[in-house]
Amino acid sequence: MKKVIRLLTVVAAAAVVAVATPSPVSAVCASPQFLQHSLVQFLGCPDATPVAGYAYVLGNDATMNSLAATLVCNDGTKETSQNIACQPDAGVPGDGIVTIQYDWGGNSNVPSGSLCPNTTGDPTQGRNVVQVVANDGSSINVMVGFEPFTLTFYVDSAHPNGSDPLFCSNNNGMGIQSHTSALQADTFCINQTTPPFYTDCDPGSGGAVYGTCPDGAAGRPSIAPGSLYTRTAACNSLPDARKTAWTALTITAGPGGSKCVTVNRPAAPTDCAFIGATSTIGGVETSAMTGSFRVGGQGAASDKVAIKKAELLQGKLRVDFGTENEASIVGFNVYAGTSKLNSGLIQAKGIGSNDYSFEVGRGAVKNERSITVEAVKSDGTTVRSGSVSVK
Amino acid sequence: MLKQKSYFSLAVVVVAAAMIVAGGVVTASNTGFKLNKPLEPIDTTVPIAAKAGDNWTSVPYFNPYGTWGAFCTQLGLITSGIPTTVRDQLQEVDPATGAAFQAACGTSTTRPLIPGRGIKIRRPSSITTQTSVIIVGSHNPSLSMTAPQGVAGSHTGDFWFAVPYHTTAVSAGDICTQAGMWAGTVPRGTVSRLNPVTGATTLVQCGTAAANALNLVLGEAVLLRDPHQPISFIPAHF
Repeated sequence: MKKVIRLLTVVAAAAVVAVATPSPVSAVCASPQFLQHSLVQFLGCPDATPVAGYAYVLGNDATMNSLAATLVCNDGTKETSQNIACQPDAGVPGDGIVTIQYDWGGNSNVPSGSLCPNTTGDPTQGRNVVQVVANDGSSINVMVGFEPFTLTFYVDSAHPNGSDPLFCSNNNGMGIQSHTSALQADTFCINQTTPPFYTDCDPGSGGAVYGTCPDGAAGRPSIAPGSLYTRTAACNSLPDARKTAWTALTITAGPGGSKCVTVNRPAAPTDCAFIGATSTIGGVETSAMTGSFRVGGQGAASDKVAIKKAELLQGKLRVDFGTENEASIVGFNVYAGTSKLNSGLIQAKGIGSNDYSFEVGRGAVKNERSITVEAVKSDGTTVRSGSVSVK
Repeated sequence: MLKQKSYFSLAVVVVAAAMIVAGGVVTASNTGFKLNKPLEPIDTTVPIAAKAGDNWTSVPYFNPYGTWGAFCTQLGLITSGIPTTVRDQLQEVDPATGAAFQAACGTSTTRPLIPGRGIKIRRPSSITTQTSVIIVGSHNPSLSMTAPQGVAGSHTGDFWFAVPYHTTAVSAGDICTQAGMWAGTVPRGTVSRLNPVTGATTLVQCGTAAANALNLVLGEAVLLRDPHQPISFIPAHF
């Protein structure tokens, strides 16, 4: 009978109305507020190695940011630095698919203090900006608002239709107008524009279906070129994009409205000088680079590309080629004579020595028999392989 | 004998009445359970009241679900629709790291359901009234619950404990005792219950009258946290 009574007490407790008492002071956001991909949407970015990412709250980027947390998943079986499981949709390294997974209420790499970007449920409060820089230096910038009923910032909402993937772009807003190389320094004149910037306020984006941008297109902040910075880092690295790790460059006016800057080439053969650019979003300069490129050091071996095999087989031309010590190669073009065979730039992995393969229908080759591969570097220059004849 | 039979009849009547009051039905056969678990809707009028509609749910340690995907499907939760906000959302917290993980039903379908760990069900905004789901399973009497010592200023050590349906614990204080949570000098172990109707959290410290006054609710998980020492215990049950 005693057991029955105890069981009854438990059941009857369902009718008990609990009295709310204040929660203890917590140094982290008391409730999770995720910034994440939620469906099968993804960012198409070269991801053979971990991909850099950074998030901040628009207008509060100095205090509300992801610091050094890893928030880009390139492996669906791994965890982020916050110990959050990556979405299985992130696939495997090298498949060109990455997802965003971050919790403002999470433990790791979040500075102490109340870091809940949204405290009101207003989708426009605490809008998140995400910057992703892939292995080859290509990048993407995304901004999304808050979905108040699931307490989440859905990166999906910035995707076209809320259902189509977005891709990293080699257009980092840093067009090279001119490049002058001296003994120990290089001068670049840069036509600084803005990199692609996707938001949930864009017409046709998922913001309408997620309800995260109630202001529609009017809610999209302006984006404009910011300033130019430099830093030194290992050539085969993606340096921390946060502005605090960079040094502002002195800018002089160049031809065609370009901005000219001079950087010293590092003495160490494995180091490169990086030139980075910020943007201003909503009138505020971003706290991290929205684009960058590498400049080889004084002793750095130049990126090399070579054709390993080229053959006509079963109605196709197949070209196998490889690189040596990729540091600043962003992509490749394959040529038959003077005719470019590929429609879009073949993306480079951007780090280390790699093998690539390219196929095209035999008809595209026409009567040309001399095949070459051109490597395009991040500063706009190119390097060509030796030619290989096919029969 | 007659007296015992009368007690039993009375108990059956009272149990039935209590079940009606609670809006749920639980039956046990040996250690098998079938619970009609109410799920509260979110508060669409004040969305950042936020925790209203957070249904922290206890699932029997042996269960036929195994994964988040099967859990959503077999409970009849909403697993399709775009955007995923139109689906039910699940969330859990890993006490070892404090990391939360959330996913909409129909995604992360192979993620395992961890025995002993509570799971949060949050209904989409299209559901505006209380609903219910049937949860089945049985108990694993040898499964030990463990969580690291709570770390100040972080969620590490936050353990959403899936209370067995036939627990001998009646109150939060009983859980404190069973789990051996620190009830000495502050900071003490704490037990928190989130009211899914209001979103309000009731936090009590072990060893206090408030802990003994906070009754457990059948089918709900509660948050255990001990800043003084790790938690390790095997839940007591009938």
